[in-house]
Amino acid sequence: MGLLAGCTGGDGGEGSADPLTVGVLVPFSGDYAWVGANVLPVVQMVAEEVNAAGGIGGRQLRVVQGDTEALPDASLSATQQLISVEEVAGIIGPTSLTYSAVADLFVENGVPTVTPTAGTTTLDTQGGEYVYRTVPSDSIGGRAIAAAAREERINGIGSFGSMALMVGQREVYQSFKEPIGSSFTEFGGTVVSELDFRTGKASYESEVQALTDAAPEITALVASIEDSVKIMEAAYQAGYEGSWFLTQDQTNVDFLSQSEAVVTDGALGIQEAPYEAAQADGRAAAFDEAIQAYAGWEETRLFATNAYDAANLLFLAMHKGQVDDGAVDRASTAANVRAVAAPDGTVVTDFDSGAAAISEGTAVDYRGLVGPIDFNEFGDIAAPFSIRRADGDSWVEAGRVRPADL
Amino acid sequence: MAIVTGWVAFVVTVATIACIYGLLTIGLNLQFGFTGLLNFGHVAFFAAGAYTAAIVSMPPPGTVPGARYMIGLAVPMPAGLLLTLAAATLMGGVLAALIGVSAIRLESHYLAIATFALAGIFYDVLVNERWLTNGTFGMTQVPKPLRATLGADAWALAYLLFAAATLAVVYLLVGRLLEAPFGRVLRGVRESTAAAEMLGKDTDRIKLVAFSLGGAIAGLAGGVYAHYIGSVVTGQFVAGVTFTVWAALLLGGVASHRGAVVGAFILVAFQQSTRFITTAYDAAVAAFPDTLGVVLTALAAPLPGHPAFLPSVRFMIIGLLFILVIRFRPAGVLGDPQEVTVMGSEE
Amino acid sequence: MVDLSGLAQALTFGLIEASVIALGAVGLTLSYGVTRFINFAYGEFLAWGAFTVVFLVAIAPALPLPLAVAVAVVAVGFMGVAVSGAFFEPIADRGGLPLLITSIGVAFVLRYLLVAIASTDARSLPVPLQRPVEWMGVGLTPVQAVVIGVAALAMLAIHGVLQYTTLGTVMRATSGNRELATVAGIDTEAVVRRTWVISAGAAALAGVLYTVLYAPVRPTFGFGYLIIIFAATLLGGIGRPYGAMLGAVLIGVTISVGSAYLSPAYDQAYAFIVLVVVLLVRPEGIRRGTF
Repeated sequence: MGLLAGCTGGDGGEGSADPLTVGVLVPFSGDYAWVGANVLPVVQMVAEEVNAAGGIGGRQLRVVQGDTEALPDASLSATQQLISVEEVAGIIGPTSLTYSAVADLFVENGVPTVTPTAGTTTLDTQGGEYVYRTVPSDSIGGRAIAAAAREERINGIGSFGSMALMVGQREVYQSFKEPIGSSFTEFGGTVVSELDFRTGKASYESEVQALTDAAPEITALVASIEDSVKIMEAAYQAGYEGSWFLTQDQTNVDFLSQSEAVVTDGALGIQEAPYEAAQADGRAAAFDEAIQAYAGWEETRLFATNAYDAANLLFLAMHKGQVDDGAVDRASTAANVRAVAAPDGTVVTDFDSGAAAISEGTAVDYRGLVGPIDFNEFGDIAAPFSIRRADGDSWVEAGRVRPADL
Repeated sequence: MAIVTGWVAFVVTVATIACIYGLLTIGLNLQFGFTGLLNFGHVAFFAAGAYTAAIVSMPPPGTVPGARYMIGLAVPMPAGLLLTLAAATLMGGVLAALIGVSAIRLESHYLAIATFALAGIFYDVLVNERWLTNGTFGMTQVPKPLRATLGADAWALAYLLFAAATLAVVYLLVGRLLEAPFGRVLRGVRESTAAAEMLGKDTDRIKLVAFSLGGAIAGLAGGVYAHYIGSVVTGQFVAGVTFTVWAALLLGGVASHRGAVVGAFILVAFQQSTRFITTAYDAAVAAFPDTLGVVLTALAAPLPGHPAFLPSVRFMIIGLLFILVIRFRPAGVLGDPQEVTVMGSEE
Repeated sequence: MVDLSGLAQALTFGLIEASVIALGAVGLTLSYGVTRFINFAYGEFLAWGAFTVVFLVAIAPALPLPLAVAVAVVAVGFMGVAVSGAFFEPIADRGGLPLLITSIGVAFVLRYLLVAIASTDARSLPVPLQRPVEWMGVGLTPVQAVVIGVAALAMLAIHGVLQYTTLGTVMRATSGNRELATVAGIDTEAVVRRTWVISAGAAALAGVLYTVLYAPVRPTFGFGYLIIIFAATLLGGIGRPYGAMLGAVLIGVTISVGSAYLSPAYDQAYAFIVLVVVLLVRPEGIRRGTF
């Protein structure tokens, strides 16, 4: 897809009225540029569908990028760009990396913000009025990993008693450490070693040696794909004999293609499970097909389903404001994000049917690809997880962990 | 306050950032422009100031969930602002003095490498010593003085005025210093250390003072930064910041006191303006769909579609800036060619 | 009590890394010899070398790896000449400082040109994953042994050029004193060009070997590694290729032993510390003699 092709978020033909602007506030450059690359096309795709059906209140949607560069000062100016210059009606983003630097701008300007990526535990006790998330917190994800490691019936390999935690020294990884560790202990296991390592090193011989010396039955490795490849290969060469438990960042085909099967076979991983209802009625498969074609991907990438739900929620919320008040404004949109997902409405699963129902005055309950999307008081959701096992160059589902299990 | 909306709000943010970079550039100018010390580790002094301000003003670790740091002195705002900034300035100066004590005597190429390496070590320390810096989680609860009282919009404007005032004060003070005999000695040392020594000047001490002052000003910039962004994270303090400040210095004019500030503003404006490339493209295509739009779309089509493309072009332009300024206008926008040619000759 | 086999293993890892550093350091020091400025863009030749091979392997998978590497080394060698001709030679008479600052700009241009083309994704080369083979008490994979061998051969070749060819003689003359060499009738500009080919080519090969050992790598890895190469170069005495090789061994071992016995969180920092100490105590390097 060309560099600037999706800029306008639509064919731009119709709509002489002012466009409605939506900002995507994530890193588009630097080490985390892949986050932007995964999220933006999804938002653009959904916006185009909305525009093709006439937009919101006759206004076309326009998607604008705000590149946070994963840096606080760049995030601040990017957020100001979106809020003050582009006057966005809503924001999709930001990531855990820069949330704290810009959070009060959302609240003070009353901008509805739905983040599809920020799993940081910092948000467990923040948000809910203007800030929502369509990704489960790392505290739940970490707990799911611990639960799955302890139960053979979930992971299909064994009930592990001793675990090593090997976690990269960045907030996005460290955020997992405490939930995994404390939950594993709570479920009856023992954490034999906690190894924090510098990310981005050329090689990890010393760390891997320490790991092999600790001889855990399983190691939870929370790191980037490239660091994980290096560590697992070095461990293989050093004779490590335990199992591995990886997180969402590595549980994809990209990771498997970068290392050999002999190293990765049998490794356990976790992903947000496609919501069973979404699988049953074919929505998950339909989305996979649509986004892979639209963005030119080989597999549906990390955060794509979260971004889909975030976009739909935001647009439905804007539409509801249009229907109720005759105009789209930030405050009503923020409140409506919660309203369109409230569990006591008619179940809808996409923008078209949701918009139609809202236009008729019916209360809706949006259920997404990630899960039923029921926000708690802090704007957080719970979602089921799929426990996967690496087999050759693909991941096989070994079991599921439901929020209720935790 | 209703006036701080739209473009104005954005410009206020950019201008505040520019003031911070202005301070950084003045510091570097003092070190290199006026004293000839090639410092490629400037970001370390910036970081030292920012973290000091954070440590002095952050709430104690017990009160912050998930805190890994161990020192938070919780000096109350806004009265404590002076204290945190003074501490930041002091720390920047102390770090520079520590580095300078041994490195000052190095020949300029070696000083460049040594300062670059030391900044790298300093960065590693920031990441690894979590008890001090909270590691990569960063110190994210740095208080923004008077934010609650003034409200977001008014505070943004007030802080801009504060940053600009700080810049102005430093500018005037340093300007005075440069007019004074000290400034002449600096230039003398820059032109020829040997000659200055023959005249009986203690060149080591002079260089150390200039280097430390430059570091102190960078530390002050760090303090101003910390209370503005409210979040001090290691990811901010990378080598790229050092080279951005260098680009600002070269552009504005080495050894031009005014040029340092002008260069910083131009560079920050340039960086922020590249945010709007996609918006401008959109607008152009929408406004002239038939002629310009078709041409633009055709031009853009073969360009790589990955998101790192535009930011890369921005950095390439900064690199070209270095090359072109040195080659064709070493004096930069406001520099004095006389002062600059002297800088080039040594040994 | 020191665990001897652990120490021997750490030394081995250090030696492996040293072979990559040595190649890079020799290249850097050779070009410094004739151009007399510290080239901050040098690290980018490592990245370009590595990614050229990645690119060649991607578009022509049937091409044998050694051939792809040879093509990349030659290509980047000539790129070095082009870069020198475009950016450095035109201001060569201005002295070391403007050239140094210009090289920062050139580094940005080269690095972000590569990123613009290749994106920031990390890549690897198709190198087989092997278990280490026990050899005299330490573990070494065949690939690691090949890396050491290739680096050694390359440095032997450079040594051969320096000692036994006319080019080597004029290179040594020019690096000793460029003005005098010109007066003596040597076409110093041609010498500079040829030196750049060797220098950038060595860097490219070092980058490829780095990628073989430490994959996956990102296109931005060159600048970060530059300081390590500087450390080795300065340790050996700038402008002295044999000193650079020695310096590389010391730096490689320092990093490895430091990571193993002190703290693995600081790895390259140990090299930086050695560098700073060397600069402060003995900037002319540890090796006596002029070359």
